[in-house]
Amino acid sequence: MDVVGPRYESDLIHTRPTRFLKVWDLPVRVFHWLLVTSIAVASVTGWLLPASWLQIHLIAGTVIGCLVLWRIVWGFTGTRYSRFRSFIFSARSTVTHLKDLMEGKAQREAGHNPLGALMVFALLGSINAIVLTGVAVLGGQFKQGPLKAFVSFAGAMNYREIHSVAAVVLLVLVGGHLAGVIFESWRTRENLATAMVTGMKSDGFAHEAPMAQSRTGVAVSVSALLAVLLIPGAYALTSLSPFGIAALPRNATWETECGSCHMAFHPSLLPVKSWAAIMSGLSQHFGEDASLDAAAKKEITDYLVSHSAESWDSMAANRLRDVDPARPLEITATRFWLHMHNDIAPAVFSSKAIGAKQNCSACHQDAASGMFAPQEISIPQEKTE
Amino acid sequence: MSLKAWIVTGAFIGGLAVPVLAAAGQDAVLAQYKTQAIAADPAFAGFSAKRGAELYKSSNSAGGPDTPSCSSCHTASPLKAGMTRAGKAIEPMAVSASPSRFTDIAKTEKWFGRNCKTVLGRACSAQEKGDFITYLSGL
Ligand code: HEC
Ligand code: HEC
Ligand code: HEC
Repeated sequence: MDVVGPRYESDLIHTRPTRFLKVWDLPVRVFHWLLVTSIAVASVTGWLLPASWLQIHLIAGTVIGCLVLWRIVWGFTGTRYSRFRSFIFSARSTVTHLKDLMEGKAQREAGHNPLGALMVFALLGSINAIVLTGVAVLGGQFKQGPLKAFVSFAGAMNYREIHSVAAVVLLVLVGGHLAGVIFESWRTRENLATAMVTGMKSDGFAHEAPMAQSRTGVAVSVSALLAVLLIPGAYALTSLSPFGIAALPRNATWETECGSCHMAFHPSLLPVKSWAAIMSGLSQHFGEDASLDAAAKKEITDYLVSHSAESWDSMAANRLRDVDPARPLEITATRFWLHMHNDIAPAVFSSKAIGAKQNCSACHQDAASGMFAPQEISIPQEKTE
Repeated sequence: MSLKAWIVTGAFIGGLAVPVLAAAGQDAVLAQYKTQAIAADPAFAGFSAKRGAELYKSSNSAGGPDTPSCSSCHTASPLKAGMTRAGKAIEPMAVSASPSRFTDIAKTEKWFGRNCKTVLGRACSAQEKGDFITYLSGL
């Protein structure tokens, strides 16, 4: 086979000693490896671990969001090969690069080559989509975070779909990125992963240019400005009242009368029909007599019916309103409840510290609020006496 | 008297009054059941802690299958906290452990009404209620 272009490393090594050039500046390298770490954490907590890991997932997601935002700033202010400008290639040069690759005569780039550059933008784009839809899911499903006042549960289910699909896309892209790095390292005989650690590449590039000065002052000022705007903004949004969740007025009659044998189950945990049926059958209430005088019965019925699952947009209300037609009075007979708790052994529920599955507040610290946030779950361990 | 002396005296009398009133509460509830018991049976000869203890511990089949006895929920020892079938703790029934027991006639009546039906499948008589309270007040 004809050697058309110079076969870089091998040729150069014979002509002159290898010089090393700084290609990746420190901020880009730190960004890269922090991003790798936080995406690994977010992937493991999102795909593999139970919902109680949500808090770690959220921290990882927040770090990823900040990293990407910061990378965008640095894309306009960093040193030469950090700037987006240095790796935006025309369609034509991308096609040429691809052709050259196939003919085995592609040149070596100092920064990203045209295909690598496309990959970088695809990675950043999908990460952005994941972070943004993640915030929307958090807002609509769990009524937490800056979008909690704006997203419905039904909306969150759609965003969740996008969040999951985009996460799979990212996984595939990461696979492609790794394959590209391995291929390019083999092709140019230069370990590109090490280059992302040291920042150095041996010289002899197709388009070599001196390292441009970074505008670090501008980068820091813009980042500081973003922080000053975004952090208080996010806090302010987070303190808004959640979408579709009206403040529940207190009712002492309900609290004492329905809270003496079990916790007073939040009105949003069952639909109107179930509450009405429970309230009209109190003299035979799950094998016990729980009858009330007429006034208390009416007061509690009105209260439960007007704040029932249909009138709330929490995840629990949305899921639990779908009762088992054969046992419509029981929260613990709904498909959702059974699904969420099927890993928990009966012996755990009957343990001394819990007593029964109806004792929601033993494991859900926020059971009284009706929110059942994943971060508020902890199963009490039986004390060994 | 100075203001301070008034406050001290007031606090002292108040402090004495709390246990006295609480005891009076149980007496008042018992007195009501006594009146009802005499009305039901003119030969009524007073409440019995022994009969109360028997009621507390008796095992019955006429009520719900999961609740054969008062002790099913209130536990074998009235001095200890009990637990409902749904896992909620119940304060001890003995007055010495829970001084506010049987001081609110509406509450006491409500629970006798419910629990006698749940356990015995019938209402309790005034005498049974008085026996039960007498037993739990003397522990
Ligand atoms: C006398 C005791 C008692 C009182 C008072 C009482 N309950 Fe219950 N409740 C129970 C028991 C016992 C269960 C069933 C526990 C079990 O299945 O082991 C239950 C179960 C329930 C359940 C179904 C829980 C599940 O498993 O999903 C609901 C809902 C409920 N109660 C609502 C109410 C309401 C509303 C009130 C107030 C009007 C009330 N309860 C008052 C004893 C009581
Ligand atoms: C023994 C402890 C325990 C008890 C008691 C318990 N839960 Fe849970 N619950 C859990 C755990 C653990 C999870 C998380 C399961 C998972 O994510 O895989 C959970 C999940 C849930 C969820 C989904 C929440 C989320 O954010 O993922 C809801 C809603 C819920 N429980 C409602 C209830 C209700 C209502 C009761 C009482 C009738 C109850 N639970 C009783 C342990 C318990
Ligand atoms: C299914 C569980 C259960 C059983 C069985 C049960 N109780 Fe109770 N009982 C309760 C609960 C719950 C309370 C209210 C909680 C509290 O006051 O701490 C209560 C309260 C009472 C009270 C009110 C006490 C007061 O402070 O005024 C009386 C009286 C009482 N029970 C009598 C009985 C008698 C008599 C029996 C047996 C015939 C019985 N109970 C069986 C659950 C039970």
